[in-house]
Amino acid sequence: MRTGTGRLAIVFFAVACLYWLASGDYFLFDDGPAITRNAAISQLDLASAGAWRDAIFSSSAGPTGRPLAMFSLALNAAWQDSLSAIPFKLTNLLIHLLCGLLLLGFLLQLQRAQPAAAVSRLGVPAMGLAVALWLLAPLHVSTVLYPVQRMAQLATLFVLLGLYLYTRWRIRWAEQGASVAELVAAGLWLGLVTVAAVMSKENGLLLLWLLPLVEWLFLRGRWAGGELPWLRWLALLALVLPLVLVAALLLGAPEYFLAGYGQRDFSFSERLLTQVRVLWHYVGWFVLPLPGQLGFLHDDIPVSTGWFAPGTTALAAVAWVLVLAAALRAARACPWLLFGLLFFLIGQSMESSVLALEMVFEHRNYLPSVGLAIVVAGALGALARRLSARDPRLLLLAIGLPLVLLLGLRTYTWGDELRLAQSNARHHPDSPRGQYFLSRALTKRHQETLAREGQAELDDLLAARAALQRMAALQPESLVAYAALYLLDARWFPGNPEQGTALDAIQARAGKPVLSASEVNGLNAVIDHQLQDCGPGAARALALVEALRAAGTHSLDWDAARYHIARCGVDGLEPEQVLSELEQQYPGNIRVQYLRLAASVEANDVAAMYAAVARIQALDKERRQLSRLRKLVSD
Amino acid sequence: MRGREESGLVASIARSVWPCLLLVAILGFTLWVYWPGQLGGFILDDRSSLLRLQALAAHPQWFWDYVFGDHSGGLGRWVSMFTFALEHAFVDGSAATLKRHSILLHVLTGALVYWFAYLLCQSQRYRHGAWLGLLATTLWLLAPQQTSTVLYPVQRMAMLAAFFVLLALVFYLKGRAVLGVSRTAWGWWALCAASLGLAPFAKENGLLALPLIVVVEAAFLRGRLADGRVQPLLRSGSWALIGLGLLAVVAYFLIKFDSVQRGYDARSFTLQERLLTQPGILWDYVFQFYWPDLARMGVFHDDVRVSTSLLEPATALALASWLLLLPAFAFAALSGLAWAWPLLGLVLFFLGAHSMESSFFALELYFEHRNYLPAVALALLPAVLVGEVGRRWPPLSAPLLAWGAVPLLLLALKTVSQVQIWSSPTLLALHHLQGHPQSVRANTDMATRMAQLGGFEAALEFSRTGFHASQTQKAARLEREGDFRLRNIALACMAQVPLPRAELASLGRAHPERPIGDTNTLEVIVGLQSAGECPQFEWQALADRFAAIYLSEPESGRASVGVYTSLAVLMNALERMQDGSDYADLGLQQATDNTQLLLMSLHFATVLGEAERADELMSRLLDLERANRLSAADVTNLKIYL
Repeated sequence: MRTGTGRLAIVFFAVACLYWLASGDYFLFDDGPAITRNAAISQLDLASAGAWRDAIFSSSAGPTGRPLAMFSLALNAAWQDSLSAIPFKLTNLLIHLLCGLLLLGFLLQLQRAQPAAAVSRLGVPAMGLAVALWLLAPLHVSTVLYPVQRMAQLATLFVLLGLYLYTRWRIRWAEQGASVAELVAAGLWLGLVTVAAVMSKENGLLLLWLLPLVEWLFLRGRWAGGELPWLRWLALLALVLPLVLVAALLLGAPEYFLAGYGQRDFSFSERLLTQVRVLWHYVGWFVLPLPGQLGFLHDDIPVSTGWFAPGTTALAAVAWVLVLAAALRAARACPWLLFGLLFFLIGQSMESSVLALEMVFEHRNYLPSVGLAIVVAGALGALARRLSARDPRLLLLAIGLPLVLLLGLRTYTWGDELRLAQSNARHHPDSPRGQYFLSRALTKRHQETLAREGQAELDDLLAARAALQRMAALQPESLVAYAALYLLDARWFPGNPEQGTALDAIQARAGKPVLSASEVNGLNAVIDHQLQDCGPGAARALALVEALRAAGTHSLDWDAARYHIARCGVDGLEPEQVLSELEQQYPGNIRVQYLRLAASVEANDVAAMYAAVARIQALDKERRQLSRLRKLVSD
Repeated sequence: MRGREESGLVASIARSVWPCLLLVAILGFTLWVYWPGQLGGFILDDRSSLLRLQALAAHPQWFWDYVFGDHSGGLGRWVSMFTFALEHAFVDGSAATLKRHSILLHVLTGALVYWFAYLLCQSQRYRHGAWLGLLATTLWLLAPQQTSTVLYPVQRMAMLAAFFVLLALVFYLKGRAVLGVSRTAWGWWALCAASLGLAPFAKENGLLALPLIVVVEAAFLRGRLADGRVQPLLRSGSWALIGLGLLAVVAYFLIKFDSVQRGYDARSFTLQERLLTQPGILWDYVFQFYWPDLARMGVFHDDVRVSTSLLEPATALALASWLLLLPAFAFAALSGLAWAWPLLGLVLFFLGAHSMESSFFALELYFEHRNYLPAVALALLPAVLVGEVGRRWPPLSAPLLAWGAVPLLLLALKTVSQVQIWSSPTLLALHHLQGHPQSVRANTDMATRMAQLGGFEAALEFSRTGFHASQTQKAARLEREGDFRLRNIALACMAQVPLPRAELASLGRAHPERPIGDTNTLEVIVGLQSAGECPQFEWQALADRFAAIYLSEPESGRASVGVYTSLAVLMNALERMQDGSDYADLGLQQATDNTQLLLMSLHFATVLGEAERADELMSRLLDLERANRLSAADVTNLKIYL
């Protein structure tokens, strides 16, 4: 059997080299809450078991907190004096290569599992090609070189492990059958792998949906040399069941899905309509990874507000129906086509459907693109057979070389933060976040130059201001750009009178019914800045906070800010009274109790200190505050 | 052929090397998890049992006095006291040192649990015996319930007893494995006998080693020899011994009934209530071991609900389930279901290991450290279940073992957080209070803490809550009002506030026949005074009040010997020699040969110039010295007056 081991080894090596060379020492947006701003990770005390426990449970992402992924991030952080992104990225690369190996194992098993009835069968070289396509996909650069996407990677790793194990065992059972004990043992192993996948990221649960897909399309109820039709039906049932469950949930408890949309600037139906188009974008980015199309941020993709707004929405939906219908029709003769498409759609089902998540992220394709790789490899295999007179290696070269070049180009872009930001802004000029990202990268370069050389031209800062102004123009209803402008001016251009204009713009927008997470962060940063040293900004901060409260967007952030303003001695606010109001308003909030603790320490009131610590302990059911309390009580 | 043998040997070594490496890693991991726990301080019984050992630093010649001077539990616990005395004589004797050594002992005992579990699994011919042993060991080592034993210095006694019991069990199993095959069996049994001999002197629970060996023989080994033969004498003899043991316990209970019953005079619950409550507590130990409710864990369980009637559903259910469990497994085993034998053995092991402290003796109702040894049976249960499943369905062994890692990891993470709490006295005190708001001890502990930080009002509030709880919680020691008042006076001293006159005036008004029941608070006051903690305190006013209570109409039965001793010490410090002499005399009326009181009386008589009285006391003390009843410290003190 020719597996093309040598060629695959070259692909693995090339991927390793290209990524290795591009592992620049910088973190990105979502790395903040998970790594750089997460003290449990960034200041991890290697020697303390308690610190490791804190690190493992330090994420509030998803319903599980993704402890396995957090543990792996902690492992990277543990042996560093000052936090560098490089070990994180190299570990991601290692996981990428491991995923490639597991994918190879899975696809080789899948190749063996193909039904005899299939007219179009995928050969071993096609499977090798699928692995190469997946490994080389430039689309995955934004996953592998983005430290926090370790979560998506680990989930994929365990899903692939589960698929490999299941297919391997299932082929044996198809020939020899299995005892009940073997079945239960397999179930236990797969359960364990699923738990590991889910504890990395919730997408890991999709393993349980992908297994029936393998069963239905490839194993087809074969058992002990014969066939069990009910087994195939069971697989089909298991395949349909999640859809039924989601539909039932949508009908029975729609608030479960809809509640999250309160914090979004798009509706449930808009998300569903948009995703139909976004899925085609994903396909395009995998199949034709043009640098101009790919990017770090894709908030420039317009939201579909109806089937014909934009018109491509309906077109995309029809295209999906047609493609699936065609694949279904060809399923018997060509199972890999339907398998690949359904693998892609199932892989996307969690993040690209009903849940109120952001619209587009490239890393969502890390697992689903396995399906696309199979489809593309299968199609190329079929093409190669048609071109049998010519050397198929030419076809491989024709595809492989550009792919390697595109991957190299993209990893090069990702090798430097400013280069990435500039490229992103150039290719996505309508992306507000892209402009913000650019302004941040430019400001960072200015700071670095200043630190290195003692002085720096203002060009970068002016360019950063210009980027923020473009952002404000692109997203006039949002206050994020104005908050960033205000903070930038306050830091670097303190004499600029436009600060007042920016503050007015923020205040005018603070009364919106819904504030996005970015806007809340921006407001917090502005208020924090105004409260620095209890300067004259405190009164302005109070006006801003009162405007927010008047708009009904009550949040602990604003209410706690009011307490800090009161502590600055702003007239009309008594700190103790504001704190008592806070306690009444947020009786189960740990943050408020920390404020009470600080106030008790200032007042040297021992009983109140103990009471505050006791309340924090009582509220902290998961014991995430222990290390902090341990340091505070210091007895 | 030779090559195949060699590859078999390599495979065999590989099979045993991996579990061994993992065992070392797990022992190291346990050490790492527990190590921060050494930062906490002394608690509860540590003070009464261990603090006096601090004198060893200045008087190393008293070493053996302390080792053999402990008479708690009837047998004395010289093995445990020996370790404590060593720590005080040669190291600093601090809480951190004691805890550090207890942590090391826990890890060492964990290694013994592994050895025991491995031998037991081997005797049952389970697949993956070494891995099953690891499963049991890890569970035992890292269960959060063990925290309150390992990090509670005085519980070294329970730990050492468990250590020697396990050592005896391991040596017995080693001897049994070669019985009838090799003469080395006798060597193992000699070691077993030595362990049996040491165990009870660590703590009386060590006496249980022998019954537990019998249980292991009866339910696990069942008279089977290494060569496959069955020794009927061993098989039936072990069951006969179990029966005889039960009869002996019943006989002891009947013969000593009055003495047992008398023990309950000092308790708020009765013998019947204890017997009704313990089945539920035993189940709680089980649940807390496997599925811990961390909020409830700790040292203070004096708020545990006391069962008063068999008609209470929870009581009846708990008792019935224990009573049914044994016959159910016994019936299954006798019906030919082989898997039931080890399960029966584990139930017997668990109950047997609890039989001393969780039965009819008038001890307090609930302490987590009581489960330290019995938990070996609980830790073995999953291993035995996996072993039995694996015997019937071999493919299931490996995935079940792998799944075992999941709960172990979760338990370990819980233990990490529990150790974090134990490493901070403040957090521990708050944790106890949160989990047991009606615990007398948790409240009084917090009162002390508040007072030490200067919060007298808050301290009084906790002291009041504790006192009220003592009146309502049956599991708690019933506190006399005099103890409550005295505690408030001590709290005032700690908080550096003036002697509270209202408390002083109320002291001794209630229960005039015996106004103060607890010696500990008085000892604390004596300690505070001698350490000069509150120099501005009106000590003489307090001494006057004591004199009004005890000396206006002297009657020996109004207080315990301990109270009179403490009062005599206090009066000596306050230079009220006549009062001191009177208190010593009152104490001596109850305990005529109490050497400490005799020496104090001698001291007072000498200072007061009562030569005749001094001669008489000297003569009595010399008689005691000749009878070898004076400790080295007593002799040193006596020499001062010779």
